[in-house]
This record gives sequence, structure tokens and C-alpha cells, in this order.
Amino acid sequence: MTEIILEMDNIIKKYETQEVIKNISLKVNKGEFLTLLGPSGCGKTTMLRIIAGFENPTGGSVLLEGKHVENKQPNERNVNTVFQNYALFPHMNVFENISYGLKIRKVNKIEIKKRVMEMLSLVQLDGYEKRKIDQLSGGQKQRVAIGRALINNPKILLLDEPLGALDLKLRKQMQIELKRLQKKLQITFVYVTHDQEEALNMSDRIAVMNEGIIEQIGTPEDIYERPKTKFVAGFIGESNLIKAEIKKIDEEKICFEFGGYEMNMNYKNYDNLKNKESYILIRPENIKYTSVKPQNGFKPPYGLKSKIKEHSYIGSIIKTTVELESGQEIIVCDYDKKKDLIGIGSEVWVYFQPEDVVIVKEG
Amino acid sequence: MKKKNYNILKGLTIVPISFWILFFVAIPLLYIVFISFMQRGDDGSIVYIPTISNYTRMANPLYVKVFWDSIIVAFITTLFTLVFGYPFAYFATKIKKYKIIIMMLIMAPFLTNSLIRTYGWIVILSTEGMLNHVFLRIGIIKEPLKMLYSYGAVMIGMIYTMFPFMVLPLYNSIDKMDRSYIEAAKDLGASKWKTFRTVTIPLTMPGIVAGCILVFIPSVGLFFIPDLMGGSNIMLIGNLIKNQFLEANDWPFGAALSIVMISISLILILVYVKIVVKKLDAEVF
Repeated sequence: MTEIILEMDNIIKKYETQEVIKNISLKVNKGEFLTLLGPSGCGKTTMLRIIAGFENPTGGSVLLEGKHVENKQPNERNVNTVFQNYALFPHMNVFENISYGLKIRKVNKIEIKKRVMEMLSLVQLDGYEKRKIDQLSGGQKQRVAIGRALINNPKILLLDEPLGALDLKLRKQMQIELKRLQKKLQITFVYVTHDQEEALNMSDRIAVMNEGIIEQIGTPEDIYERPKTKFVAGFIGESNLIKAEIKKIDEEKICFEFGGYEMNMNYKNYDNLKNKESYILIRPENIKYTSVKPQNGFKPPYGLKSKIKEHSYIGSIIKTTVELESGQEIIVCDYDKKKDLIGIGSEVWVYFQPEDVVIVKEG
Repeated sequence: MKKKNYNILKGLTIVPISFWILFFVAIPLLYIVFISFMQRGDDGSIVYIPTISNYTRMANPLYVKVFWDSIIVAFITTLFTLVFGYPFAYFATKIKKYKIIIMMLIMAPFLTNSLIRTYGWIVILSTEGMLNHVFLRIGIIKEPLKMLYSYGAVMIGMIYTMFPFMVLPLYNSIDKMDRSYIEAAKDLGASKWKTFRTVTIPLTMPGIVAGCILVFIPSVGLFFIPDLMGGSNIMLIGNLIKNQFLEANDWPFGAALSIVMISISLILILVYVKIVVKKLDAEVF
């Protein structure tokens, strides 16, 4: 059984009249990498600041290792933060920055030196101890910030969009390093980002947030393959969301109308589906099209008539936009770049496997 | 074409400034240096015969004491304005809603003449003044206190007058400081006091240094406050210089005193900045 390190119950945060967090409950397991993912203004940073102790929740409780901490100051909680802008002390060098937490705790000098040196090699900054902060590159500052937070052996490390200021290549490299560091140290990470790729790449679990609530929480695979709401489906990855009218639901099958065709699907995982206002989601990589007119074996909607609107080349894939007879546009991704492209305006038939269809609610 | 225009513009701005510095700063200062090496005629005029007697005269313990007292008064003024000004500026930045009003209140006295404000203090502190009147009525004292014409009165006047010069640079540097540094220190386990000592003070050091210089330099030479509030009991360097020019008609000696005063202030400031910079290992300027 997994041990719960952090439990947040019915958290509400109001600023004057504005409700930033609307009743969120969240459990974080010991040693896991949990990401709070969402667009800016969704409340993810506020959640992080509540855990760190910079904000007091208007309502609800925060339990760290089973103990109430919601009224404790940041310096009384054994969690540390890697700030978005690093917040490295500009009047101290690398060594002094990293050792700050230990000096505050009055650890003896010999041990401080030993632990800082170990930390420097852990974050791959050997030999940088004398450097001033303004002599460091963005990536190096990032490493110092991580080292400064980790040296206190926090129960949880909080990271607030730590890679936001780095360029793409460095960001990818740091993603791998951070994940490796987390696995090695077995420290619980709570990571805030708006970058869905970063979240999918690094997390054990992702909590997708929108407008002060958690829309869905689950493994990256859950979130991507089985999104529960339209927001989650649209926020993570490329998606074709098509409004579908549900005709009939029985024990095993769900029948809905889509593009003028009726479609039957096995329905096990969609127990959340009660209302008629639903959407079906098909990921672009799960759709194919063909110029060969379907024969009798091809049954709608597995051969929806449509027209090619646009091809766009984006490196590893070719993205094609096709228009269904209903006017709905669908994006199709093709990894096979060698095949001849079908000309714009040509008639094609779109098909997909029913297993790849996900039903999501309006939410 | 464009470059030429730019040069004209540059000239237009630099030429007046250069003239200003030349005619209103450099030449008067050089003139003061020049006459400080001249002699005083019997009728109070300047006799253009070189001498260093104006400087040797200052070795008189009487004058040494005047210099010493002035530096002590300026030092205490700086210390008090800093001790009161720092918390004032700090909390002014914290109360976001009213911070403009608070700063307006700080600036408002600048709109009135400082002489008038000093007279205001005289009205409050004098033997028949408001404070004594109130104390007598309440019965705290039997006889009126002699508050005016003392070092205490001079200090009150100086601290009051110099306070805004300390608060403004402090306010500026505290306000500019990124609050995430404070959060980072707290996050790493520092208490409020530890955070203040190890992060807030070092990071606002440029404001502290600027405020101290802005208060210290004028405080050394300020003459009207010791004149009005210290009376004849207190002789500071500013009064001494003023007396040489306006009463004793000894311009060469007054000039020599001014030069020594400026030199002492500059040396003290340089030493102060050196110590601060070295101690904090921070870039101040």
C-alpha cells in the first residue's frame, strides 16, 4: 500500500471576491512525481503556494505526513520550493546559496562543506562553488536553485514552472535530468507547469486543473488516452472533438449519431457519461484516410466521406486537415512521409478503429 | 544626415550642462580654494598675498572641537534617521493601498520653506512654548523645561529636516526588491529576523548607502538649525563658516574652513563605502 505524504481536503482560496481555488481535494503519494497541469490562471501556482505555506487557504486543511500544517509558516514546514525565477540570492555565490538552509539550521561548518560539495556534484556543478549568481547561465541557475532546495532533504520538493525560462533543447535535457534525480533521491515532487508535453514526459500522475478545480487526475496514459472531460481532451495533445448525439445506452453498448451515421460502441469505461451533451474524441494519429472508395465491407462511420483541405509538413509528421460532409474539420496525422500526398480538394474516406474513440463529457 | 542631427541634439543637451558645471560648480569651488590661501585685509577685504596661515589656524583646539562636534552631530543624525527611516520605509512599501499617500506626506514638507518649519519647532520647544504649556497644565512639571538652545534641540531639528532624505532612497530600494527572495529565505527555514538580516538588509544596501550619504553630507554643514535651535551655546562648523563670511568678514579663513569640511566629509564617505562594500561583498554602485 502506498503511503500518503500530503493530503489536501476541500481547499478553497479566495482573494477578496474572486475564488481562485474552488474546493480541491488532493492526495499525494510518497515518492511520486505529481504534476499540476493547466492553463495560466487555473490556480495551479496558488495550490503550490498553499503547500509551501506562502498562502493560507480560505477553507480546508493541509496535512503533511498526517499533521495539520495549514497555519504553519513556510519555515516551519519541511518542504522546499524551486521558484519560477529561481530567486537565487544575488549577494551570495553558489556555495553560499546552496548552504543557506544548512547555515540557518546551524549545521557545523565541516558538514556544510561536505554536503554542499556532494550537492554540487549531484546537480553537476562541480567547481562552480565560487561563482557569482550573475555569472551563471539560465541552466546553471536552475541547477543551483534545485540544489539549494534539495540540500534540506525536504519531504516534498515543490517546483513552480522551473523550466519555463529555458530554451527548448535545454528544457528537454533538464526534464530528463529532473526525472532521473527524482527517481534517485526518492523525494516526492509536486511540479507545476502549463506545458502538457513536459507533464506527460515526467509525471507519475498528472492533475489537470482548470478554473480552480481539478478536472481529472491520473497517470499520463490515463490523461491522454482516456480523458474524461472536453477540457482535458482539448488541453492535452492534438484532438478531434466532435459533438455526438447519444441515441441509446444499455448495459454493454452505447449508440450515438455522428456525422449523419449511427455508431455502436462497447462501453465500459464511460460510466461518467450520463448526459446527452457529449463529445467523442479521436486522436489525429488514430485516424487514417484513403482515396479508395469503401466496398461493402466498409461500414459507416468507418468510411466517412470527406474532402482534403490542407496538408502541412511539421518535421516528423504530415498533418492533414479533412472536411467531413457535415462541415466538421478533422486533423489526421501521418507518420509515413514517403507516400504520395492526395491532392487538395480530392474526395477521401476517413476511417478509424472503434477502440480508439473516447467519449468525453462537456465538463 | 541622421547622424548629424543626433550630434546636434547631443550638443544641445551637453553644452548647457557643461556650462552649468563650469560656472556654478567648478569655478566657484576653485575660487574658494584660491582665496583660502590669501590673507585678510584690515578692512575685511581679501589681500592677494599667498599664505597657509588660514589652515594652520585650525590646529587650535577650539576649532578642532567645532569640527569634531559637527561630525558627531552629523553621525548621530544619520544614525537616527536610518533607525527610524528603515522601518518607516519598509512598512510604507507594505501598505500598498496607502503608499502613495504616505510618500506624499513625506514629500509635503519640501513644499514649505525649511526655515519656517524650524521656527515651528521653536514654537513647540521654547520655554513659553506649546510643549511646556501642556506639561505645566497636566502637572507633569512645576517649572518650564529648558528644551530649546541645547544639543537635544539641534538633534531634533536635524533629524526632522533630514528624515525625508533618508526615507526616499530607502523606500526606493526596498520597493524595488523582489519579494521572492524573502519567500525563498523563509522557504529555506529562516525566521523573520534571520530573513531580514541575511536577505533584506544586504539587498537594500544600495538604498542604505545612498540615504546615509544624502543625510550625512548636508548634516555636517547645515548652519541654520544649530543657529536657530542651538542659539549661542552651540557652535558647529556650518555656523563657524557662516560667521566668517557674514560677520567676521574673514573670507580667506571661511574658505579654508569650507575646504577642510568638504575634504573631511568626502574622506569619511569614501571610508564608509569601502567598508560597506568590502563587508557585504556586494556591488553597491
